Amino acid sequence: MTMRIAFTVNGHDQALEVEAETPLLYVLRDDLHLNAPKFGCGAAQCGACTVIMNGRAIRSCVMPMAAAANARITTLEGLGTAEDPHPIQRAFIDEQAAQCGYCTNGMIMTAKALLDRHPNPTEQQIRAALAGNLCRCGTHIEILAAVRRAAEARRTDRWP
Amino acid sequence: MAVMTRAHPTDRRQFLKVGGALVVSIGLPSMLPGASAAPLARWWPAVLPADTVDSFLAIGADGMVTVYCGHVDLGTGVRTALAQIVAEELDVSIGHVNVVLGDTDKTPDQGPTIASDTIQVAAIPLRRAAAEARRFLVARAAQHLNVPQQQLTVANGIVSVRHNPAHSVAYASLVQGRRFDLGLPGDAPVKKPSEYRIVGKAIPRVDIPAKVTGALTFVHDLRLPGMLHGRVVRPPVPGVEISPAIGATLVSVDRHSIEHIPGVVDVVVHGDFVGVIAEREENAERAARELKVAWQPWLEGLADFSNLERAIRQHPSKPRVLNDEGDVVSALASAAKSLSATYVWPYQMHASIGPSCAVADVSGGQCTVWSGTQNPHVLRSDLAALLEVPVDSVRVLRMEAAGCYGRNCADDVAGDAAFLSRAVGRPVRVQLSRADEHGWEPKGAAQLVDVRGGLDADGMVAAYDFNTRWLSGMAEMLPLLLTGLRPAKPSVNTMGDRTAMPAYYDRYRSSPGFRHCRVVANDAVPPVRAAWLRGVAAMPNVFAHESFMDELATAAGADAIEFRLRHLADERGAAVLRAAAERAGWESRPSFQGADPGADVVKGRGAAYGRYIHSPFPGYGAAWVAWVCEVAVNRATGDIRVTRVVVAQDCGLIVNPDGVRHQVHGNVIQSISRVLKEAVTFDRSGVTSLDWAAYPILTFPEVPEIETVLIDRPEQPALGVGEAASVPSAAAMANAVFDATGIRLREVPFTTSRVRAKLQEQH
Repeated sequence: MTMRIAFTVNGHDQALEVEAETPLLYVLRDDLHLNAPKFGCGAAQCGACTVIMNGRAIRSCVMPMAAAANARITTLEGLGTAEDPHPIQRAFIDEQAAQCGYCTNGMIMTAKALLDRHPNPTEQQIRAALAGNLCRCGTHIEILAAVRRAAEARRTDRWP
Repeated sequence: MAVMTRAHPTDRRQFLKVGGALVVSIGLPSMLPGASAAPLARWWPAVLPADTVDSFLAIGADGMVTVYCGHVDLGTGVRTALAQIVAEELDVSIGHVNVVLGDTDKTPDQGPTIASDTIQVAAIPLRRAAAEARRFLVARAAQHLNVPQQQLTVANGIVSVRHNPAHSVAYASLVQGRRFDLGLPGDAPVKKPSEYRIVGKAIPRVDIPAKVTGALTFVHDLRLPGMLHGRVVRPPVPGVEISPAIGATLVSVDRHSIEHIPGVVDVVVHGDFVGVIAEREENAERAARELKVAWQPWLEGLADFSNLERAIRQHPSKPRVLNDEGDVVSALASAAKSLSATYVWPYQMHASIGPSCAVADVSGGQCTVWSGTQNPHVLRSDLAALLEVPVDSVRVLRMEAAGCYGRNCADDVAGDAAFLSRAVGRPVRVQLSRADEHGWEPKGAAQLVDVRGGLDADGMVAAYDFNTRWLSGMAEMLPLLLTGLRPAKPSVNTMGDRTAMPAYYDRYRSSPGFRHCRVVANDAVPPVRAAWLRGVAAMPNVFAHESFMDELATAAGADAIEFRLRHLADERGAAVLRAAAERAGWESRPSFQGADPGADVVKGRGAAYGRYIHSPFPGYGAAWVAWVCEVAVNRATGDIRVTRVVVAQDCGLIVNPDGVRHQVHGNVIQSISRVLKEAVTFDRSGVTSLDWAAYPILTFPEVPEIETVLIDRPEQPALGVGEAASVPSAAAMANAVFDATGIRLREVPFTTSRVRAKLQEQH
């Protein structure tokens, strides 16, 4: 059974006829053509599909569309572009914090949600926040440095 | 953001054959390779020649340099390093270099991207091609400017007169889009390392801005007009690729069972190959889940892997003597002390974060496949076999994928996509489920190593006897086996001999004891689907070598690093050991010194050394690496925490120090994960580690401090770094645990239960 679901993605209002149990991830990727959130496991175990919904980092692979009705969703694309990156994206570029880059979306979105809640996280808080985000290339050292750099940027620079 | 079909760009093969203006169509990671779905012409040779400058690079009328390399970037940043190498030799800015990787229609066949060989091997003809092109262009410029070549200098692709820089001409106008027609290898001199301005610099990776902003990069993100979504249903024997477990076991498929799912386009069945195609991805996924498929049970079932040592020992294998020098048996018999030990390595996963994915368009007699493969040219042949069409009607375009670290399911899913696309005559995207990726990816092989060694009265090694068994195959493309087009009979993979020779053996220079040295590799048909995983057999073999060297050092009452240096003739190896020891603040003393009986958490340090020796025996080496690591072991829980790792590495010339350092970090973190946590589990039907809960990997809170010492030798050839720093990992950790606790861990992974059991044994 399809239903009409309205929600906001990266500041744009969207309304779609879609089955209620369709995962948000597939709507973002296949209907809205947003590449950043990735399918990793389909079971909320790896974090590659992370988006920010109503201010919290959530796993879009297990979020049914019915639960996303009227939600405010931000994806990585909503932060900035390669030409005009968000400070947290800038920090990941400056620290070269990606190898294959498949997990990168989840790392940035999880860190963004953390920094919005805790602008001055300790090292332990950063690691705990990212504990559910898996990286197989072993980019953890650079990712941690990027999040610290982003936290610094949040204190000193423009932070949309 | 669907891909727009656009006019077919000037074909590279056509360019190679007839010359004419070159349209540089691809290369930027944010752009789609091979965007045109237009049919390809058919008159070119099956394999692009790799013996001309034009095979490797072209300069467009706009001055952009396009580099063509048959290797691909598996997430290591090698695309950027290749651009640096070419920009350096050509004297152009790095921003003017596009790198095209792994397009069977554009890049020469340089073999699969394996063995950390892209910089060490595949980059060499690129560099030579760039040097030839530069010499040719400078000669042209001398004519054009009417000055002797010696008065010319090149910067940023502009040739100018040294004392009159305004008198100049750009490469672009000298080439005017024409081909070079220069053979390789030529004799143009390459630059001296002392002249390097781009190579050796930490140039930022060209792919990262797209990756941190969600721009089109990955094969998973490709959308073609009219594209459908496919999913496959594999036989219920995950990871078993042997007949009769697969090949002819399908009993029935009930197509009606998914009639209630909207938008199902087709169900494709051929032999044991079962796939579904739907308009929407979630419906394809649901159709694959709900399709009623009956299979014949596999009565024989998998061998019992619960005791891995026994399972490997009992598995039929064939010994291959790699070395038998001196008289090992007598030397062991007459040794002052002799030791023996057995080391066990489990099946492990590549565990790519993204499941494999491919998009195929089989229509109009042509097959175009976008894939995350390691080996586009091999995949092309396999696809031709699968579709039973001529190889030259198949084109493979490599796009980025989740890091693979070896052979994952990338090729399998390319076959799935092609097979499904052919059935419906429309583009089909197939993405594997997490369970199928975990279950069917060709595993890193299980391995068993028996070592015997002796010490003489002076505490020097008197004999060394090494016997290694590994259970790996070559992992043929799975759809070829499922469809019955190839028999499900795994072939033997002889890579178990990688780094089987001890690093201390040197026919002419090593200590006399190491000249009584026997090394045997046992080759076997693998019981489960396995192939190569980062470090391949070198990681288990060096676990055995370097743990055993530690056991010998302890028996000799010697410091572990000093003991190694006494036996090591290889000066670059000795240098990395010394560098790691120095950075770590290594205190010379024997292990183990006893632990405070009252302390729950005890600390220790361990060292190991290894050089990744690969390719057909005796093979050749990648970078030299030494590890010193520090651990804290909780004796109550058995938990091992790696707190600090110091890695010293010598890879010769360092093309990009950040890139090299990141590979070291990646190797360290991934190998700690493998050694502390990872083992694939099985039941009689196959793999049971089918999600991340069943196959946990290292997480952020567990990541140690890592210090990297890079020994820069710019005058030496650049060596592979993709795997080298993984190789000493397990032994360094095991040796550190011994130093902390007095227990020897000889089976990976070092799980808490295994550590607790050993500690209890000790009391």
